[in-house]
Amino acid sequence: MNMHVTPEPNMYRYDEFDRKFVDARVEQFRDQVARRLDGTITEDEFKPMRLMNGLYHQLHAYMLRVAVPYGTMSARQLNVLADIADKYDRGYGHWTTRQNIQYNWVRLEETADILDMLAGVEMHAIQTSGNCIRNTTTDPYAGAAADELADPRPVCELIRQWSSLHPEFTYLPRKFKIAVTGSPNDRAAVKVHDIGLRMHLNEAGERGWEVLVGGGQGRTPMVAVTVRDWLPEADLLPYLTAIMRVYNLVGRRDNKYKARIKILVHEMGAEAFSAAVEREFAEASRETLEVDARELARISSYFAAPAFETLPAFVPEIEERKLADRGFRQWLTANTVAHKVPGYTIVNASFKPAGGIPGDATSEQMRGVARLAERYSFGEVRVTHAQNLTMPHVRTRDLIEVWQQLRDQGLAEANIGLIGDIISCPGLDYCALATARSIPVAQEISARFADIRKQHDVGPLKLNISGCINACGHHHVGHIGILGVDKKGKEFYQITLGGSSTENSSIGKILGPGFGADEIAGAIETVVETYLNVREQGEEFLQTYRRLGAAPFKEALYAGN
Amino acid sequence: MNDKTEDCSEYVVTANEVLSGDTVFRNLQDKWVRGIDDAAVLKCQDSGFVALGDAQKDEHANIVMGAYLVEVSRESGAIRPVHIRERIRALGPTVRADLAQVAQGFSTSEVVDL
Repeated sequence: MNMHVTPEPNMYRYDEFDRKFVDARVEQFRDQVARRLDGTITEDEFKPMRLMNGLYHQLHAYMLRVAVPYGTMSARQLNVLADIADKYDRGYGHWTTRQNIQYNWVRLEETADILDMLAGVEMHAIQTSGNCIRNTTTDPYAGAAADELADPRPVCELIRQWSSLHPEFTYLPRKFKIAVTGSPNDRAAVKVHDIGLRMHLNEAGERGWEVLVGGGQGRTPMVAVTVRDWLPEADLLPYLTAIMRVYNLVGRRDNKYKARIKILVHEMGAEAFSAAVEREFAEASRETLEVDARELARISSYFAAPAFETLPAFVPEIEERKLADRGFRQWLTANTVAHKVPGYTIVNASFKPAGGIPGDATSEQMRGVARLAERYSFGEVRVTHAQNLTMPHVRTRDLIEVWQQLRDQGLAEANIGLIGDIISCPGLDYCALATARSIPVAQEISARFADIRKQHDVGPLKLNISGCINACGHHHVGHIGILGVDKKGKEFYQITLGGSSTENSSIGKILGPGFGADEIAGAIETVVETYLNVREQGEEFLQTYRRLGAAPFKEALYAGN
Repeated sequence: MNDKTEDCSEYVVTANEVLSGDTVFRNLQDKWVRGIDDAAVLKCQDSGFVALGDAQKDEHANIVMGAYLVEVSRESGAIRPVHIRERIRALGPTVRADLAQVAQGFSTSEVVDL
C-alpha cells in the first residue's frame, strides 16, 4: 500500500514555547467570548479583545483575518484554511493585500474553535488588527527568485518574534506595518510601509539593511524616506526598537488620521526624525536586543533551501510546447518567474478570472493548490500581496502538468502583472468602512479585457481599486488607480495615474473629475487605448505616463466636456 | 412639535445579532428578524427614536449590538433602504447572488431565535 506523506516545507516551526503560548491564547479568547455571550462584558469591553485576535465586525457579519506570516505557508496549512472555509464560513476565503486570508461569515461562538484549528497547524490571527505591529510582509518569491541577494524570511521571522506581543508596542498611536525585501527588484512595496527594509551586500558580501521610514497609503499617501543606508544586521532589532520608541513617544494620539508614523516623519522632517532615532539608538541598551548571529542562524536553518535536484535549465519539451501552444506560451510569459536554481521555476496561480472577484478562493481551489504544492513544490505555497498564490519551487519539466491542472481549477488565467490581475479591496460589498463598491468595478474591467491576447499586447499594467480612502486596494500605487467615493449617496470613482510600489515608487496623481459607476470601466478603456496610441516601441504603461504626463489621458477623457 | 421641521421619512430599526453578527431588523412584535421586508416601518424620525430606545434594551440584554435607524422607502411593496450602504447591508453582497439574504435560505419572516 502506498502511504502518501505530505511533504513539510522548510519554514519556521513552533517550539514548545510558541505552541503553549498560542494554545493558551486560544483558551483565553474562548473565555472572553463566553463572557461576552453571557453578558459579563459589554461589546465596548470586548471589541479590543476580539480585534487583538483578528476578529472584526464588518458590514454583514464577523470577519476573521488570519495571519500568514510573511505570506509563507505549507500545503498542510492551506488544507486547514480550506477546511475552515467549509466548516465555519461559506466555502471560501479572500486573500488580502497584506498576504493574509480573511473569512467573511464566521460566527462569534465558533471563533475559538477556528483559532484552535489554526493553532493545530501553527497559525493564528494575533495582531492582524489593532494598533500594534502587524504581519511582516515580504517578496512572495523569497528564497526562490533568481534576482534576490538572500532569503529575507529569516529576518521577517526575527521581526515576527520580536514584535509579537511586545509589551512596549502593543498600544501604538496607530497600526504599524513592516515590509522586507531581499531583492533589488522590490516586490514587497517597502517604500509604502511604515518601515521598509531593503537588503544590501557590502564588498565583503556581508548583509546589511537600508532602513526606510514613513511610507504609507491611506488618506495621506507618502513614499518612505531612507533614514539609514546601511545598518549592520546585528543592529536591526535595536534600531527598529529605537524607531518604535520615538514613534510611540512622539507620534500623535489626538487624531487618528494623523497618527501614522508617516505624519510624524513629515511633521518633524526626515532629518530631525532620523536624528531622534539615532539618539535613541545610541542610548538604548543593546545587550538584550542585538541580533545574536547564532539565533539568526538558528532561525535561518528553518528556511534552508529544499533538496533541489541537479536539473538542466533547458527542457526541450517545454520549449516545443511553448512554440506550439499559444495558451501555454502566454501563461509561461505572465505567470512564471525565473528561479535561482537551474531547472526550477516559480509558478503563480491566478485568482483573477475574467469577470471574477479578485482574491476570492473557494475551499476547492485551496485544496487544489495544496495538492499541486505537495506534488510539485516541496509542499510550499505563498500568498502574494496582489491576492494570488505562488508555488515557489516547481521543476521546469513539470510546468505543462502544473499548467493543465491549474487550468482545470480555473487558476491559470495568463494575466499576472497585466490589467486583468486587478488588486481590489472587498469594498462596500463587505467592508463597514467602504464608501463605494470596488469588486463590481474590477469585475467589469476584467471582463472588458478578457481577451488575453489584448492584455499581453497592453503589457505590464497594475490596476488597483480601493472602495474608500483607507486604500486597502493600494490604488495610490497602481499604474492606474481607482478610488471609490460616496457623492451624495451615489458611488463615484476617481482615477489616479502613475503610481508604483516598486523600488521606483511613486504616488499616483488624480487625473480629473471622477466617473459614475456606469462610466468608470469605459473610462479605463479610454486610458488604455490612449496609452496604446501614444506609446513608443517596447514602452510600458508607466514609462509612457512618466514620459508624457497626464496630458494625453486628460485630453482623451475630458476634452469633450 | 413643529411639523415643518419634522423629518417624516420612513425608518426601520436595525442592529446586529451578537451571536452570529448577522444584520437583523425589529418587527412589529418587537422581535428581531433577518429579512428587512418583515421589519416594522416607522413613520417619522420621532417614532423611530422611540422604537430605537426600546430596541436598545436588547443591547443591554446582550442579544444585539449597535442598534440604529435606517431610512427606507417602498419599492413595489418591498422595504428598501435609501442609501446604498444600508441596502447592501440589508440584502447582502451584490457580487454574490448566492449569498444574498433571500437566497441564504432565511425565510423573510424568520424570527431570530433568542
